[in-house]
Amino acid sequence: MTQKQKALSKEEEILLQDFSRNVSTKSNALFYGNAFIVSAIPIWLFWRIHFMDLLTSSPLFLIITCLSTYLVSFAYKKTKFVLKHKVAVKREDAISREISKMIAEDKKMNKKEKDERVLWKKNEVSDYEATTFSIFYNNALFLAVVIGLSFFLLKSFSPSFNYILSVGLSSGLIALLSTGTK
Amino acid sequence: MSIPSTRRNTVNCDLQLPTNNLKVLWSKNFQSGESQFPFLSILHFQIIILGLFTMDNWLKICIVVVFAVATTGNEEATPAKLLFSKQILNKYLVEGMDIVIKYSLFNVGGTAALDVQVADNTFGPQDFEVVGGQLKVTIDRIPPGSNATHVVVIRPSKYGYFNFTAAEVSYLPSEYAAEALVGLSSEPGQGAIVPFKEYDRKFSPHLLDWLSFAAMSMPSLVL
Repeated sequence: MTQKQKALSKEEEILLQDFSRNVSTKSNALFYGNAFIVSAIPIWLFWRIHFMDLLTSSPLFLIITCLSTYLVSFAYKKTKFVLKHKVAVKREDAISREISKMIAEDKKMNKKEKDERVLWKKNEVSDYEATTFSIFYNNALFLAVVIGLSFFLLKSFSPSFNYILSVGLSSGLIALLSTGTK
Repeated sequence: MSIPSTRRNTVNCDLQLPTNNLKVLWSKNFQSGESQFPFLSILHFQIIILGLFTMDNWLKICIVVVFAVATTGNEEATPAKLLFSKQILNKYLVEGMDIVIKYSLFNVGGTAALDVQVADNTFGPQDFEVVGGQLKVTIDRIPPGSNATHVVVIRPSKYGYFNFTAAEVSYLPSEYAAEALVGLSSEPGQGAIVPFKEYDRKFSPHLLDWLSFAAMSMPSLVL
């Protein structure tokens, strides 16, 4: 009974992992690290091209970077969840074939164990692909919107106001877009 | 037509002139007692052309005599008169960048202007640095009907609004003049010298900065 419960809970674990919006600690660290780096990159542009003084504007840079980090990592998580299922559907056949090839010689493994392994592999692959694509997509969109806002729409504004609006609006926009279901 | 004689020129000529305007000019010149050389030269040129085609020999001689008298009668030339302009040739006035100033002197008088001294005391050493040329120059002679130019390059050390006022010129209007004449140039007026940051922000291509930005963005995009 205990082993069955353990086996069920293992299956349940995988399913929960598959359908949960929560990310692992490792993914969390990856998301926040990337979000911080990409939020800090526009500081270089505003320092060198808009001539904002680094020391006097440092409190402003810190606050906006922290806010942007939170919003960008939020966008990563939401986008990853939506993408994961799409990737899983696309990769299912290929993963099944690969696992079948691997365990073809092992006749001791039953169908249930094989399905479990396919499910686990599918979860792992789709998780990885969704994570990387989510980071790439959101980073590209964030940087493009920041450049578009700060050098075209908001170029006549003062540098400080330009920074607040361009980075704030960009991170807000990608967070908003990530809440879509499609 | 008989022309009345004056105290300087006495000529009796029967002259059939083609237009009434020419007759008026002729009589006016000889009654005034002054030689108005430009009028006379144009008039004589017209008459000479007509004379070549229409008049008798004795009339041609008459015209030549009148012309000679007119040219030799011009004894007193007008003194030198300088027109002085000061121009800022720059489109943008930027802190720490060169400003080119052109001074132009035109002598519209009848004699040469001598010992022409140009001085521009409007650019203080605390606000401007002279990069090329001099703010005080002396030109020995400006012939009548000719001009002289002088260019100075300065560099502002501060930004803000600056009122570009007139430069001074002093010169002797003739060889025997006792006192020099003093004049002022035109005033370019108020100009805004912008901070270098603003100019660089607007016009610099920042190629190196953009390349650095691209290099920094690559790791986060090429994951």
